[in-house]
Amino acid sequence: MEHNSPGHFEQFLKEATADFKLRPSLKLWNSIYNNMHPGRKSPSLPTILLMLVLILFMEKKSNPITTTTKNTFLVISNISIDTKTATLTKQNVVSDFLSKEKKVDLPTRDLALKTFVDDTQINFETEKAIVWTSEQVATSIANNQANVLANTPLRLTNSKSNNIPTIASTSNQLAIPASSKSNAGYAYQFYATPSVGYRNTFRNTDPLLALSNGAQLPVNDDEHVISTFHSSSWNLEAGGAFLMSVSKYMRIKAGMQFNFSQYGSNTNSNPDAETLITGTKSVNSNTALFNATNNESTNQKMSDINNRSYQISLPIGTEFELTGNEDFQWFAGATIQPSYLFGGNKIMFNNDMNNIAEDPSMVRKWNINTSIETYLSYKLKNGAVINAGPQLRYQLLSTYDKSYIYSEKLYNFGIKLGVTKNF
Amino acid sequence: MLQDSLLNIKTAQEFLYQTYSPKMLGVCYRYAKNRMDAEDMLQEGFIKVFAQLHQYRQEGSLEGWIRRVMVHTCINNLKKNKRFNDCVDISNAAYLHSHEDFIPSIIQAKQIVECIRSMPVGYKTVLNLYAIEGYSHKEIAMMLEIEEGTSRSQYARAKGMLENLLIKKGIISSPIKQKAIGESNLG
Repeated sequence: MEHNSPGHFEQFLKEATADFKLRPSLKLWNSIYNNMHPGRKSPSLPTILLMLVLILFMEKKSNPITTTTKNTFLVISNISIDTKTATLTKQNVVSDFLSKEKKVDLPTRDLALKTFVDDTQINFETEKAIVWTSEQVATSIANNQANVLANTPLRLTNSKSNNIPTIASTSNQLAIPASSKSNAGYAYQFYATPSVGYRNTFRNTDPLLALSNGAQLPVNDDEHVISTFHSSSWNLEAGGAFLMSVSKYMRIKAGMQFNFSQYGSNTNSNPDAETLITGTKSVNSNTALFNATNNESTNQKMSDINNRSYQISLPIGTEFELTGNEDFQWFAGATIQPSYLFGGNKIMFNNDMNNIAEDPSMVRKWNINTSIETYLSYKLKNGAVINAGPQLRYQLLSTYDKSYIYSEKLYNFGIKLGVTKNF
Repeated sequence: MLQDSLLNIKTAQEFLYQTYSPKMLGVCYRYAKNRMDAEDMLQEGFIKVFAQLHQYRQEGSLEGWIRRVMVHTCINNLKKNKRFNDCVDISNAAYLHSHEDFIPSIIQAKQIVECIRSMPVGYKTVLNLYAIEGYSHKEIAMMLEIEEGTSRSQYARAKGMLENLLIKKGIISSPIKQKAIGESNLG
């Protein structure tokens, strides 16, 4: 490149613009990096959740053995039964007929044969039972129809002549009794989550700083300065939810909860000085202002300030049973939570994080939070289920209006304790 | 940092970006219509920087090399978007005045940059390339695909317009001429 011989005008412009800098938005680097390395993107959390839902729905669809009715029993009886009035008890049931014969490969874990030995009574008026007589079973086995026995669904029909239920088959699915697990139908849940909360802060725009006397505040991007002045603090979430099972392992939930979030800050304050805060919008001069300067000779005091917010949220989400038995189960879940801020004191910081003020007009009222959780549940004797496990909650939109130089996104991590009861 | 960036190590590339991006965004901002366009140019420029980093022969500073890549990216972007068509005839230049409401900063460098940005695209491009980046009129003509004489005349008009703007803003008190020792041009 040939260089022109700079005159004074050119020299003036060069010197004036030599150190002119602008801070790019934070997302720009991610765009550049993803453009250079297109194959390295990891799926976002919503994509992961969607994949999980699809996998579980496919699992539900491919599972040929389903039950839609609670308390469906497969009973092998050695007597004829009046299906309208009979009460089947232990004495009626040849409970180990199939296991002794060992010629029929049925999924025995869900068979009511096992449940029935606990003297459970079946009310045929309200509960569905699939009843075979021992003769029918023997006939099927004798006719080498073990696979029919295993694969043919049964419908209970009434035979008025002798009250012996007959077998009617219409498809190739075996209706097995419902699991005795409690995640069938509807349930309600109450919970509380004590947690530790903090925030992520991002810079939005270039700082435009001025004091009323024309002096300029220094630009300070040092995250260390920020972390020195700010600290995490305890938070709380409490609420209730309705749950509905959509498959054997998945349920959806919706509810309402109260959220209390806060983190701590301390800053020097000198009420006599004044400062502008930030960005493209000036702070109302009547707003209470505090100032911190680096001049230690001024009369300064430290103020502990908790940046607090009170929210009402409507969590909507899903839970998946990962594994478990009748008493213990392990769940994982996620929710999306539209939220409304109805109170609190949101302190705003200026560019160097030393000066603070309040301006409620710059605080966003509506927000969206998301949470992921996993927990263990234990079923009590009275049928209630207690849950406990960790939860992470994250705020998706900034606490503040776009005109503020910083974006703030709150998050907290805690232990969720709850009680679930079926309807 | 340079070697690690060539090896596609993410932390090294990010460090290089963080080191030079504020100044380069300042460069792009002088050519762009708005900040969003400037960031687009910056993004495109840095992708080219990383793609062509192996061509940097370490003759001269890395910053200077990155700056040249960035300037060429800005010019190509302007040419692609056909932004050179809105040049203003000098007879109309007197009616072109700065708008107070889009120059919010009180920082002088930013005021000067905003004055440059307020000019028509053709004028400010030639002014940026000649006065600040130091290209000759011959090189500018090749880059912008114009005649060398056109570059000279555009620059002369741009210089006059900018001086008027700076005087109106109070940044300089009079057109910048040969100055005596110790004399300042600033208002």
